Amino acid sequence: MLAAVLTSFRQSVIFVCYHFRLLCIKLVLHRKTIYEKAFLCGRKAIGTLVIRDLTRKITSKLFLVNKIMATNRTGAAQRPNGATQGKICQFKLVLLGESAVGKSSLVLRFVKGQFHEYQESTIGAAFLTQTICLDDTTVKFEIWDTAGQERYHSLAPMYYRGAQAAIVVYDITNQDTFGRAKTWVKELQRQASPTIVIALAGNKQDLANKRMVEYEEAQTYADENGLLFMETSAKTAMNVNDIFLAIAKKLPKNEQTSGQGGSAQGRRLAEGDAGAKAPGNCCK
Amino acid sequence: MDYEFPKEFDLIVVGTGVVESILSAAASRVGKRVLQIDENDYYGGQWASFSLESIIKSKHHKKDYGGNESETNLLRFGNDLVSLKNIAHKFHMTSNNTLEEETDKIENEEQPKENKWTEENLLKLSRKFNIDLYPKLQYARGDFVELLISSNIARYCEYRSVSRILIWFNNRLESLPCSRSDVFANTKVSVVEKRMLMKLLTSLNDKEKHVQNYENKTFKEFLTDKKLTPNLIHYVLYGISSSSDDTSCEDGIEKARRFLNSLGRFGNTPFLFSLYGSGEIPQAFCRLSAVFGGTFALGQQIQGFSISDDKFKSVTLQSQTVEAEKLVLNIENLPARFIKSDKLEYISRCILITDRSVLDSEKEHLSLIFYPPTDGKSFTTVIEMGFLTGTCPNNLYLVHLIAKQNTSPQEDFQHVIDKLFASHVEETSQEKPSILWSYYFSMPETNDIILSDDLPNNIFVCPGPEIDLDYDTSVDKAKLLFEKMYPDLEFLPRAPDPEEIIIGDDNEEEESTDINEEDHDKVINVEQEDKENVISAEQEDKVNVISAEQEDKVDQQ
Amino acid sequence: MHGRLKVRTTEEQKAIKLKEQQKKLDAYKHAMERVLSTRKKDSYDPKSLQISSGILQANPDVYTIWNYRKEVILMKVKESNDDELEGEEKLIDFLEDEIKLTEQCLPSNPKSYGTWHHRYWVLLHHPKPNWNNEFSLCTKYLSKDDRNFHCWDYRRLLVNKIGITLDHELRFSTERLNNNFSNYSSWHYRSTLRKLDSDCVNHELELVKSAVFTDPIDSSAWFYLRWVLSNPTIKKDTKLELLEAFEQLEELEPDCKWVILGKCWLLEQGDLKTRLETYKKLVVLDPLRKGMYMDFIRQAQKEI
Repeated sequence: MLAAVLTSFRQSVIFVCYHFRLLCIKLVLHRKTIYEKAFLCGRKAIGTLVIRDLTRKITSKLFLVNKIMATNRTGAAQRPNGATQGKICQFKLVLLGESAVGKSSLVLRFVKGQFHEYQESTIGAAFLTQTICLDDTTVKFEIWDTAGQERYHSLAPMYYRGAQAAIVVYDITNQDTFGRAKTWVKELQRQASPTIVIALAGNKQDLANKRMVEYEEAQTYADENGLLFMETSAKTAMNVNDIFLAIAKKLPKNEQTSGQGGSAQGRRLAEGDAGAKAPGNCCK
Repeated sequence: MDYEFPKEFDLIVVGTGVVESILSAAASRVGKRVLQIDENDYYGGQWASFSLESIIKSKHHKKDYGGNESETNLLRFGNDLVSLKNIAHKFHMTSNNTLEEETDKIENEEQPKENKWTEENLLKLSRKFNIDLYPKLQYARGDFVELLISSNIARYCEYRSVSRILIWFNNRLESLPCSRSDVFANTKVSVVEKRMLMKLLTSLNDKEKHVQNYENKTFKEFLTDKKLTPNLIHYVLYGISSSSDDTSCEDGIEKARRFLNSLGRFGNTPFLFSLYGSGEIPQAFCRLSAVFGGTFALGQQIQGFSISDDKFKSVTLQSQTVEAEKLVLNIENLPARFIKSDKLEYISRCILITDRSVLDSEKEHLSLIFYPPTDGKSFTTVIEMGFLTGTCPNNLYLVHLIAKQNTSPQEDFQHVIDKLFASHVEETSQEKPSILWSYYFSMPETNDIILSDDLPNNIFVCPGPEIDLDYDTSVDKAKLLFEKMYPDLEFLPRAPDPEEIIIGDDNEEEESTDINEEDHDKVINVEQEDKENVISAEQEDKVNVISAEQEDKVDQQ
Repeated sequence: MHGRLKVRTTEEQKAIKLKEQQKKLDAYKHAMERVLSTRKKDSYDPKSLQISSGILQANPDVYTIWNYRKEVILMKVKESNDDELEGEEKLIDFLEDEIKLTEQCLPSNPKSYGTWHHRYWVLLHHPKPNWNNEFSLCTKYLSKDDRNFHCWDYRRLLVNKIGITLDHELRFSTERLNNNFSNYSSWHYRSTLRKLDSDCVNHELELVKSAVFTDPIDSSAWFYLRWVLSNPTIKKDTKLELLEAFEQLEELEPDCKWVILGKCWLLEQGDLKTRLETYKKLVVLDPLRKGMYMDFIRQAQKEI
């Protein structure tokens, strides 16, 4: 059921699952540990995301088919009297780090819950999306992968545009990648928005017996630079959700900053954009 | 750090301008192995956008690596013909700060009170500028936007509508009435004129009917014969169809139709502009290429390339030689010996930073301004963009002027600048904007350059920006070249949405997930959830039962 | 380095969608049963309330559920009346959530009677309603679709309730018209705003003249014109001027029946012969309404 929900989620389909919403509420009321609440809520919250579009017809009496255009609508969490409250906030998150540290694996683990040992470079996925449910807000990540452009130092400025969060990944079994990660952090501080939330991820924690970068060293560096830090393992899924959750919590969720692009405002083009209705006459 | 490239590719692309990037994306998309390199450390080449500091510093001409051509047997990339000329820039205010001004200034890059801009504080905001070498607008129903949407690249960038179109008429700037609501709200034309204009606009779609008797006549004559008043002729000829007096009737109608066709799709003008400048467009195509496996390397010290048996063979980078079946390059990278035309037409360009809009209004506009030809000067297009386009800091405007070159950029634009702007800071009248910084240059028109016959047939040359306002000609060129390169393959089919992609094989059970005993319970819970995620849709029911049980368990806890 | 891209085929996608829809259908039925089974006169089940809000967001046209919620609200109001200290605050909180719910339901179906009515009803019971907010909401939905008569009605309710300056509404109406004047609702709204006197009647005439000349086929502007012309304070000169302008327009648009009809309105008390001719023209141009024009002719002939 969950697999079907996740893997078949298209930009243009709504899933409103009442079971899941109920479960969400139950969890909130039972005061589960934050992790479980967020995680389980997050997985199921995809089902409860309601995306609206005014130009598509109602396909059946019950359910509506929509496209994502704007963001900031009220979301999943509910207050006791039944009226829903809270918002959906969408954020662009970029991944950085040397090739082969496990960036794509991290994302894959987070978005699809999968891990492939000999994953080739991800073909065709310009970015992936995943949602996390916090107490009263639903946070949707639009996760951009480098597509290999970091290999020869050819990441385009477009990559950083409007990014509100970033994860810089290094491999704990490779000291060089940690050094490079520091350069990436500097690059972010230079190119990206000054309010960007940066997380440092020491990946491949499952290979801790071959560790070359000490936890404390990285933690100190992170503290000095105001970064979140966690050691993760895409293979065992350790801390994968945690790190995204931590980022989601740190992101400012007021009306102004949760959206695309800080200052400049634009729109995305989408298929079926018929534009303004033709000014016609009803009657002759 | 990785400097070694694979030894062989299907296609090497030299340059990162729009046309070659479209080709790179199209080739990657159909599975070709593409290597795209640029000697600059930025994307875009002549289509790029710059920060204030970097456009001032950039010399815009070819760098020189490696030794003598005859020694290395390599053909050097680049020529002197196709490069920017007549570059001149100037800050228009004094950089001496009086003590008073210093204490008035607020720290942290905010602009000083009373809008006293100086060279220093402009440069401090350098990174907030995205100055296009050649700004482009996009017709809402043009080929380019259709391509963006159909190939799904549109998701990479954001756009803004041009919010108003102005035209110079009767010695002042007036709003161009192009849509029905504009015509309705316009107070400068009589009601009968409104009817005539609407009638003409709606009838322009019927091309055949009109052109029959006007094959050899100009659009202006056509309009005069339609009994339009001089007002209306001015609007339609210079505004809606952005033509000049000698544009042929057929061309004029075509341009007008393109304009009118795109009205209303994304706003009440036909044009879109990509946020953060036109330099985003080559980056978007390059990203598409990378997403489908293309390899990218900027800042390469390219020594040259080799030809054998009349065919392109390989490119030599600083230490490595890379072979490929085909080579695509930008015309500015083509060795001079392959260029037949020796005389080039030029486009005059001017970029200004100003402190207010040419026509003040309540909200900030992205304005397109048409300045009709006059006194032997060419038709000038002006684009004024503000903070909301992401191309300049708050309270400043970036103005681009474009025209076919007559004499020199300064001379070509002098009349427009005199009319629209106050030229010295001291002279600020309340109405006209002051120029804080100006940048002039000439850009060669490369769309119609004739190439020599001995160019190997597996080398494909892409033009630079041409004078049209939009990208449609460039897209057409790219499609033509792609057709030549890969005749049977589809040009940029739609890229799938992320949700449609199956990564790995969903029908497999999850692979080894070495759950460490030491890991806390959370991980185990997570693991179980993950396992379920991977189980295929066919096993849904089973999973339903499992998760239902899980839910109950969770509830009971 | 290049893998093959695997994408779901549309058949696969359809099959998956169908399964999902079936599940949703079951969930919906289940939810409805649950809510209706717990409906009682003097107490309510909070869980059912939550479920009902979910139902409404997916399908805001289920009146029964809106009514269920109204019952609950009434109970809450009674509760708050009993509770002296914090009653009002709690009630306000509760009602604010209710209003938010309607806001969420609106995007999915902005033309749902149920949603708009519920919103108004809640505001009526609200101890401190914020009517200005409602105006902005109206404006927002009207800019999305200025033919949404629910929204226009709502706006009229608001104007009646709180009374807003004429200027403000006039400006709003002019803005809507500038945006798109092919809209019966916008013109109609304008006509309800005020009684025209000799000062503003000319301004209105100019406005509607602009519309009919810009697009003579658009009927909504003509209807407004007729209303303006029926105003007794219009001077004869103005009418003559307009008639001349219509003559010019007729030259440009000989086939447009509205122009000629417009002339008729202007000629009403005028020259009989010209009128008869014009009516005859109309019969030819607009055969659908032949009967009506024949009737005009008969009436005119009676006057002879």
